[in-house]
Amino acid sequence: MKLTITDLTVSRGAGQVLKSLSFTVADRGILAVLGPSGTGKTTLIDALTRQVPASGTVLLDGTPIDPRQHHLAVVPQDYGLLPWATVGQNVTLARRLNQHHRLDAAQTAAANQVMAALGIADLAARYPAALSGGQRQRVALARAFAQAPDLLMLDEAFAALDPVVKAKAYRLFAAQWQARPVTTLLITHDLEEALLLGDSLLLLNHGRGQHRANPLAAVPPAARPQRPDYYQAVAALRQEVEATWQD
Amino acid sequence: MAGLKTNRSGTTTDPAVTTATRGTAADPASEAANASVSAGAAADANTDAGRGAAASAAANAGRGAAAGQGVTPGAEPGGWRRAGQSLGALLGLHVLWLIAAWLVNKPVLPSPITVYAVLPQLASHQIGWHLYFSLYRLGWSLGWAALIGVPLGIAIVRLPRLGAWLDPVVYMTYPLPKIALLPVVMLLAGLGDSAKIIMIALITVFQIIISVRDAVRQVPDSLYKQLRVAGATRLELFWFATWPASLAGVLSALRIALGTAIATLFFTEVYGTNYGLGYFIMDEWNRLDYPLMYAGIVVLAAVAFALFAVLNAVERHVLRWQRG
Repeated sequence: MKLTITDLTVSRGAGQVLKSLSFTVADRGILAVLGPSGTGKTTLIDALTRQVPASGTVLLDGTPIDPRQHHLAVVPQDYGLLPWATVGQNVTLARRLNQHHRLDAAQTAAANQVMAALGIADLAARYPAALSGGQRQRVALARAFAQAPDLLMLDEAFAALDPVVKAKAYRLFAAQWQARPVTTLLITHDLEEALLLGDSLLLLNHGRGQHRANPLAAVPPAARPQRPDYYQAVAALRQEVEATWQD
Repeated sequence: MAGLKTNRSGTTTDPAVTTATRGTAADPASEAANASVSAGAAADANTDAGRGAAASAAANAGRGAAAGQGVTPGAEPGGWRRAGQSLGALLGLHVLWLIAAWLVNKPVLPSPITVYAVLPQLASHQIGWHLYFSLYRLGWSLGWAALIGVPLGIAIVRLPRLGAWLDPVVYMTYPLPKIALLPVVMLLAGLGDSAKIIMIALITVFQIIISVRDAVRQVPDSLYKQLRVAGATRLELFWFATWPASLAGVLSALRIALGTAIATLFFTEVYGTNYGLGYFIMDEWNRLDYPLMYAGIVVLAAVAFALFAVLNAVERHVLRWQRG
C-alpha cells in the first residue's frame, strides 16, 4: 500500500514536535527515517498509529489510516512482547485480536513459516524471559510479518543488538522482507542501517523532514556492504548530518 | 514468498497447511495450540494445557515438556528437592523446639514428643469441625477481599480519575490498626461468622489493593500501545495486558494476606464461637491442657503450611512465564 503523508503536525505543550511533515512511501518501499534523539521519530509512529493527536492527512492507498481498518505492525526498540505469552502466542497475537481470538489453518501455517524462516520455530513454547535479546527481536519481527501488515514500522528495532547479532538480524529481516514485501518505515539513528535497508531516506531534524534518495536502492540489501560506494554513501551522509543535526 | 498466499478472508493456496487447534476462549493461556510449530508443537500444547489457574498434573507435564527443550534459565529446584528442603527445615524447627523444652523444663512448654503423643486425642475433641469452621471463615474472607481488592487495585491504575480519589483513601486507611474496629464490627454484624469474615476481609483487602495496583503499574505503556496499534478493544487491552499483569500482584498479595488472615482469624475466634482452631487453642489454654493446646497450634501451622503450599503451586503454574 502506498503511504501518503501531507502536512503532518504534532504539537506537545507549547511546541511542535512534527512540523508540516509531508512525504510518500511507494507501495512495498522502505523509507528509512533518520534523525537524532528527540527529533520526533517515535512521535511520527505514534501519529501514524493514532496514538497521539495530529493534524494533516495520513493515507494508505488513499484511505485515512486507521488501526481498526488497516493492519499496522510496529516493532519497537524494546520489542513489545507480552511477557506472559509464549513466543507462539506473541507471534499470532495481532491476528487473534483481529479475528476474535481464532486463527484459521492458513494463518497458523503462515505464522509457522515466519517463525521457521526467522529461526525461532523451536522457541514457540518458550516465554520471553528465557530468550536472548536477539531472539526476542526475531520474535518481534515474526509477529510483525505474521500479521501480513499493510504498513510495517520499525522503531529502532535493531538498536539494542550487538554488532554480530545485528548483522544476522539485518540478513534475516531482508530475507523475510523479500519473501513478504510490505510498505515499511524504518526509524533509525544508524546511518549504515538506513543505507543498508532503505530504498530512500527521510532526514528528520527538529520535526522537519528532508527527502534523500539512496544511491544503492537498486542493489539488494545483502550485496550493499560488499560495494565500495556503500561506504562512500555512508561517509557522505555522515558529513551531511554532522553539519545539520544539532543537539 | 512463493507458496503461501493469504488474503484477508484467510483462504490459502499452501498445500502444506497444518490445521490449527483452536482455543475455546480468549484466555492467552488457551491459545498456545494455535501457534504449534513442528519442533515445539507438543511442548507448546503441553506447557499451556493446564487451563485456568489451578495447579494440575498438566502443569507438571508442561514443565517436563518445556524442560525437555533444553536448559531453562533460572529454573527452580524440582519438586522432590523442594520437599526435601521443607522437610529439613521442619526437622530443624522440631530440634530447636526440643532443645527449648528441655531448657525451659516447665509444663507451659512441652516437648514435641509430648505434643505429638496427644495428637490422636484431637479426634475426640472435634478437631475436624474446628478445622472446617476456620477454613470456612478463611475462604470467605479472602474471597471477599480478593473480589473487592483486585478490581479496586486495577481501577486505581487504569481509571486515573477514580484512582486520583481512591489512592489517597487507601494510603490513609491502610496504616490504621483495623483490628481495633473489631468491637464496632461485632456491634454491627453480631457475634457470628459475619463479623469474623468482615474483620479478616477488612484487614487483608488493603494488601491486595496495593499489591495489585503496583503490579498493574509495572506494565509499560508500550505494551498497551502495541495492542492498540494491533486494533485491540478496551476489553482486549484488559484481557491481554492488565489482567495477566495483575495476577502476579494478586498471588503475591494472597500470600501475604494469608498469613495476616490466619493471625486475625485466631484473634477473632476467641469471641462469640465454640468452633474454630483459635477457639480450640484458647479453650485448651484456659483448661491448662498445654499439650493439647500445642497440638492445636501444630494443626493450625499445618493448615497454614498446606495453604501456602497450594498457593505456591498455583503461583508456579500461573506465573511460569516469569521463569521463562
